[in-house]
Amino acid sequence: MLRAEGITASFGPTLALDGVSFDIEAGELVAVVGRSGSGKSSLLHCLAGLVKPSSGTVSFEGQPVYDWSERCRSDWRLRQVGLVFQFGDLVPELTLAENIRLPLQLAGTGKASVNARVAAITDGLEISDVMHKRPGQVSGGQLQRAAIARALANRPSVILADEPTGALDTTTGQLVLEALMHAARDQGTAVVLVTHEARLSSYCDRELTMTDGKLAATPTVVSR
Amino acid sequence: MMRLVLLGARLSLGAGRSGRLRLVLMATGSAVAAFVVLTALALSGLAEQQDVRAQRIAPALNARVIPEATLVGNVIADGWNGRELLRIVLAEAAPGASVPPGVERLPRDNEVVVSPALLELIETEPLVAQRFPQSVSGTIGTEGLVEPGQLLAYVGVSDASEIWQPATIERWGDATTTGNLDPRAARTVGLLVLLTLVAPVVMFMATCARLSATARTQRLAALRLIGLSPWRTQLVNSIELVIVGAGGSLLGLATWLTWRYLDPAVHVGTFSWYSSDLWPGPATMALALVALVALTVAVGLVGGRAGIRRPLEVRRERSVRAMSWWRAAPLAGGISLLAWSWHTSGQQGQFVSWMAPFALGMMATALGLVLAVPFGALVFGRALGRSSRPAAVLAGARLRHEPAVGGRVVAAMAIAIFAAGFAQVVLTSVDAAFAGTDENQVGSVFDLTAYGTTTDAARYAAISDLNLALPKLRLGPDQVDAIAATCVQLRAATTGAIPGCRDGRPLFVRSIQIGDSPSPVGTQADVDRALTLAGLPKSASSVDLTFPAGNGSFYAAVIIAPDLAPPTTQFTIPFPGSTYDPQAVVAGLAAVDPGAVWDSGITGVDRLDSARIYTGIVAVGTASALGVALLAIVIATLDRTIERAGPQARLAAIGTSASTIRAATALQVLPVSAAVLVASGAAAILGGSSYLRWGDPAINVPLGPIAALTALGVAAALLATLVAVVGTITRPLPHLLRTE
Ligand SMILES: Nc1ncnc2c1ncn2[C@@H]1O[C@H](COP(=O)(O)OP(=O)(O)O)[C@@H](O)[C@H]1O
Ligand SMILES: [Mg+2]
Repeated sequence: MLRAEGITASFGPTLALDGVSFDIEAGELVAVVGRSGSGKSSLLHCLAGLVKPSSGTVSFEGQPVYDWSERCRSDWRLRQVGLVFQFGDLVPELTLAENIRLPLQLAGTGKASVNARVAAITDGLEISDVMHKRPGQVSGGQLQRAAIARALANRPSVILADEPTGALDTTTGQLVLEALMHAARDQGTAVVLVTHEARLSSYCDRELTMTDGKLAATPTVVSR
Repeated sequence: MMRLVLLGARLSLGAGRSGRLRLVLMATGSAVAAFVVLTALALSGLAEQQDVRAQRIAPALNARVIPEATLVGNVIADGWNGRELLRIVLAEAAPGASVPPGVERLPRDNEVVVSPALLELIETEPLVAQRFPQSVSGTIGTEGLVEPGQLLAYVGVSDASEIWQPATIERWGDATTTGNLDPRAARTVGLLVLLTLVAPVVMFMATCARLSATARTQRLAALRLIGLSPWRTQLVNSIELVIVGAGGSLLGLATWLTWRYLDPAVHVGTFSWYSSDLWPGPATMALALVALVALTVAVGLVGGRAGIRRPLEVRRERSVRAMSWWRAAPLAGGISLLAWSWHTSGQQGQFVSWMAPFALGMMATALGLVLAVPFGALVFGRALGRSSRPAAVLAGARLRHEPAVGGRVVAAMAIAIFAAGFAQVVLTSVDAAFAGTDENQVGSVFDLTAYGTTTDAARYAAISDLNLALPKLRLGPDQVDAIAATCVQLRAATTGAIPGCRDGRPLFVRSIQIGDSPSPVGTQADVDRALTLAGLPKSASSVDLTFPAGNGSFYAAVIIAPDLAPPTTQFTIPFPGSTYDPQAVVAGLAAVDPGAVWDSGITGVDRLDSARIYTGIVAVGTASALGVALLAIVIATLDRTIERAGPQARLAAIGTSASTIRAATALQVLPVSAAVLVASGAAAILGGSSYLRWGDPAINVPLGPIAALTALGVAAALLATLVAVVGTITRPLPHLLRTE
């Protein structure tokens, strides 16, 4: 479904991605692990159509993403990709509810189904009672769950989640994982999960390790 | 589409308390700009509106008194402290005479109807009251005056014999009359004001449209990351800007209309107008408001580009700008061009070779001043970065990270100082052009046949308020009909000092043929000869008595001693313009010589009056420009204080001392601002020198006022620094530590 072939990305002298190839199928849950600064976020950004690799291609259902116009890519991201950033990515002026509804509304989803879907997602993530607050008024964990709710809202084909459980305790982290697994298993969403937690990656179908911009299947004996 | 519009509206209207505060600040920006632009536009059309009034009021005169006349009268020009005081003397010749506009009934004998401004003068100034011994029977209404401050009197007399040179007043309203403003000059002045205002207003609007720039850029970047296309993101952005721009402009319009309504007669010093004359017309107003909204949107769209093009970097605050040296180019280029134009202005008459670099230089300098701030911030930020003091390092990093942010306001102020400084130069030059007629130099020329004797002169001297300045100097036996005198001599010859008399400046402007020079304009040699013939030492006064006229030749200040005057002579009788009574003069003249024919009343008051009005318009424009710039500083400082709160709280959270945070704030604001403001003052001086050297080499650049303007700007920068330092967050307030 989403495939990267030999992508390279560098920021000045830093080679963040060094000929990375990667692909993921519908319904698959893939964990990407690796040390900080190894290039995990960069990979997600490339996969999301946000950072154009200097060489290599990223394709979605066989179509090279970076051959599309900026506008097409935006629309693709809106409808097909759910992004969860490592850093806050909600619109600060909107309440959590509005933030979560935003992609649905922008994609033109009808009002009734918007409400139903949002309610289902937020119930599962246990953030229904803070939905009327703005991002500045809730805790880091609630914020992160709201970001995941937003990524899930549009029922995207791909979810790219960058350390979504970083600020969460084990129980809440479990909620998030369940939501992502639910998307993968029941809706056939491809989920790329960047994480540090071995516990989380053990639920995934595959685990890949990023080392200095190179991606490889995790050796069976993981020494972290 | 509708969703995007709603989203834009939602984003701008409901963004929490600080968000709403900013929205109000932004709208205030548009409102102030709308107010100022509407006023400026209307001011430039004021002259025409006042012309219409002048034409409606002026009596249509028929120089002869015809038998069927119902109303006879004459218009006598008078003055008070450099302001025109019109006295219209009226006598009802037959029933059915028409009443002047704004007057209830014709003044009867010994009655006077005055304008409210004149009434106030009569009540407060005994010297003015002396001129109107008649009883005040009413005041002139709004529709009978050109401006609320106009000094106008309708004096009633019993019949035509009491009027000097009576004429038939056929009706009220004379299309050939114009107000005191030359419409062409007025348009030029209006344009100058608009230009003076445009730059600061645009910068001000830009400042306000870019308020909360960081927050907005972040928001746009967030929208882009969810998957909103650049175009649609800009649409959301522009909705917000339209709301702010349109809301603010309408608020400005409403305020402006309310002001016009609440203050129907505006006085700015001696400059005054009726609010109803301040009306640029609906089409112009609509156009101006639409332009303001468009400007707000354009500025906001341009400002939003970073968040739209580089959303990821913006979200992660990774946008350290590369230093671009070209930013310094416009200022350097502009200054060089101005210097070049200064150089060419020395060669008289080279209009094009002066004008081209001058105009280009002024524009490039203005642009350069705008760009100089981010450039200065980058350079200074780099320099600070080399320091090891934490405050300097912090300030340097901030300046390099966002070089343009604090600078917009400073740029507005810099432009205002540049424009206002240059306006000072133009004002000085306008003032100088009218300097020949300052208030006490107003003279009256009398044409006397068979002038009397010294006894008559003494009788003139007895006329109340009239300082008859006839020097008791002996003339030589030859046929010289003129004598020149210094101020000292004149003072000796009259009862007291003559206000405004200055050696080297003609007190009595009259080109008279001195000696036998064929030219109507005397030369220095003519003056000398006249003095010799009069038995006066040349060295004593000749130089003092002359002044360079336009073409380099000399006029002599000339007084003719009455007892030695030939039978028909023109006399120039000087008097202090503010303290004389034309009617008393008429009476005095009649007493001395009933057969005297005298010419032309007071001269030069109308020129003075237009100088006053031009000065008024330019002063109002300059004051508005500065006011706008000051407001911009206040608004932007508030905005920056809000924006800086988060980062400052985080600095405090990691244990940075309060004094370090404050020092870093001050370092970010003050040095660059002060440097740019001083540079703008210097640029105004350079531009002004070039302008004066070309057009008016005799005048010096008004360094004082420009320095004062610059000092005002630097004071504003200090104030901004103070506000920023006071508003600095030095404690790790929990609500500020949350980014989102
Ligand atoms: N926008 C950027 N500008 C400069 N360097 C960057 C940028 N993004 C990432 N990097 C660098 O690329 C490398 C990989 O970063 P990243 O993908 O964020 O790592 P990870 O997410 O694995 O911690 C790091 O060395 C980081 O400093
Ligand atoms: Mg990362």
